[in-house]
Amino acid sequence: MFTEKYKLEKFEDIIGQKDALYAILKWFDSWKPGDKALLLHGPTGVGKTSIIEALALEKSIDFIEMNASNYRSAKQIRETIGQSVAQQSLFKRGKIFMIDEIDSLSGSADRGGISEMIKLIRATGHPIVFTANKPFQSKLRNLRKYCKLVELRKLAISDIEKQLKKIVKKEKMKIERDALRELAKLAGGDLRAAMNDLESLSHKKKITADDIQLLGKREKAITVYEALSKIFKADTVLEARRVIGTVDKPPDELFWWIESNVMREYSKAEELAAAFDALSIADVFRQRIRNTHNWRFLAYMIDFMAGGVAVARRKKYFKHVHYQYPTLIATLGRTKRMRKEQHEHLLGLAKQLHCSTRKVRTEFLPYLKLF
Amino acid sequence: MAKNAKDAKSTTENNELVVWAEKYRPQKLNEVINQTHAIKRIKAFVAAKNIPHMLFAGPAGVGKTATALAIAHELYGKTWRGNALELNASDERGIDIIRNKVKNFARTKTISKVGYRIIILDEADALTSEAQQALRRTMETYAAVSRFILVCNWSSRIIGPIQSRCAIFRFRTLSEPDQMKFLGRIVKEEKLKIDDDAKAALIYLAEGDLRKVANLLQASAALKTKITEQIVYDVASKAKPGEVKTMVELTLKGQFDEARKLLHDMLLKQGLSGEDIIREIHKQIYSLDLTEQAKIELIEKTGEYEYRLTQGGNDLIQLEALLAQFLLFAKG
Repeated sequence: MFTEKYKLEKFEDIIGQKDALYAILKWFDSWKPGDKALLLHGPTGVGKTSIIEALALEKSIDFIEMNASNYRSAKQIRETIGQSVAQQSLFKRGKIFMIDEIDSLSGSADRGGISEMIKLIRATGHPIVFTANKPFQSKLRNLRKYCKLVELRKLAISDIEKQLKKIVKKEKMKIERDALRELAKLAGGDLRAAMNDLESLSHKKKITADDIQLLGKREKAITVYEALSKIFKADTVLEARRVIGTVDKPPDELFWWIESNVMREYSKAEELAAAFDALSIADVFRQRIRNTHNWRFLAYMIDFMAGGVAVARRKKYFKHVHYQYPTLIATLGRTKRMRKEQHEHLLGLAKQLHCSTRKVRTEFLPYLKLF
Repeated sequence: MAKNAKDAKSTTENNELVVWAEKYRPQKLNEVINQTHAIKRIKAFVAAKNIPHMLFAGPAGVGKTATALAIAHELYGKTWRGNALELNASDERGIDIIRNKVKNFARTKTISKVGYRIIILDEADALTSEAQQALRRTMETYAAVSRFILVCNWSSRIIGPIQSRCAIFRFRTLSEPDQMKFLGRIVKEEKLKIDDDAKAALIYLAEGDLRKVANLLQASAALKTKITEQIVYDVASKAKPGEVKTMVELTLKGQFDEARKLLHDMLLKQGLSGEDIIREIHKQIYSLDLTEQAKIELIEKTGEYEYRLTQGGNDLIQLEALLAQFLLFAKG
């Protein structure tokens, strides 16, 4: 993937964000425990994550990203990242924490999330970076007090064009001058989108302006359906695992999407056996995250659920697959009430029969059905 | 299944249908079949109205819970319900239960002449070790006003400190004549027609578990007025938990999607646990139409996935993954 291959590695390669860069560096270099966190805001694809990643590379510190989109109530934050933020690294290597999409916290489900983040900022031994698309929402008011705000602007068309040109040259691609300009325009200031578009046309001998017209306007994040297709068709572990980050769903949920659709894509027994084995191992890692509150294991979970499933495939399938909503999530929703009622009846029976509900279910019900 | 549960409940309440396993549960210590070594000692304690903390260990359906309940009956007579707390650790296994429910009951004094209340903790081997640690103090602190009877299959799963606070009673597997005695009692009271082959089949299938004897017999009697060997076997095969066999067979025919649907059904609609299902799969492997080499490979896989389950793996995904391994041996 181009976005991976041409990832930022040096600060100086960053295009078009001079003021922001200066501010970020200044914040980082003077940061000490007790200082404000950084709140990077701006539209998608302008380099919020890449810049911090590049910063970590350049400063040789660990970059720990938490796309915490589904674990953000106060309790969950405390359980998952609270500890590791306070810990000093074993090897005295520095760390930088990044918590994505802070503006997508939900008021009810993530109750107490913001105040917990503030506690984190106060307690942390390492710098924390938050990102947001819309930082001026009222729910972030308190958090803003503890953050230094730095804005990343939409990239200029000319900047995007410049970056695309570099890639075209390195990849020895051919593209009409107008086409390149159109491509840069189409991206709407989102460099990642532009790179993905360019890559999707890389099989062409020569890219023309007509090709660009066919691309059409981009949705913000790739859909889960596209993601599934990319994972199932990926050639390498890295390619597959990268897809997880590009889709607007947390890994935990994507897991079930993969689980429910892998047999629609793969048809050989060996492929399915290997793919499900990978999912099984991913599941074990998910439990390890929960048991140890160590999000490091998420990396392995993703390796197996995406990479492991991708490389389980012997050959590429070119058929069109109609992916479906995860059966588990659907069934759980549908049967929730039924299961609750069932459990209540079982409890009643268990009491009369002086045993556990499990025993009622396994020892009595099979016979009771026949009475 | 929810409906079944409801029906069974309402019918027991109306006394139209009584579950025989419950109806023929011994009410008094004298009625407990065999287990003489344990019962003799227990009787002495009960006669003196002074029981220690007790731990009953032994296989399923041999009279452990019944003995515990009988003790409550004999100590308190009609007021036993107010003086005995019956808890099932398999349903309430967390530390909170021990800290709240058990502790609150344990520290309240009884007004009965016995001077203490009893707490029956059934399936105590399901208690987490955390909960067991919490229990250990409660047992000591309130020993003056409460006595515990812990019931379990394996005493080794109960932590040492609790074992050392209890008098341990081991319940043994019942002999065939003992099981026949129990069977004969139900047959007589319910006026059943049953031939000897059917009786032998029942005993064979029940594997020493009297609860199973009663259930099998009642289900058979519901089907036919004259119970034969054939009927007993029919009932036993219909009463297998879930459709595990069908699921495995579908997989071996290459119909993974269908098998998966059955699995979802068992887990989500019938509410079976992954552990129950994987154990049943394990049992089924021996009789599958496969080479012995294939069987041993599948057994190895089954063990591996059961291990992953105990590591906290998700029931559904681990079982699906296991089925996918069976797919490797599918024909055609």
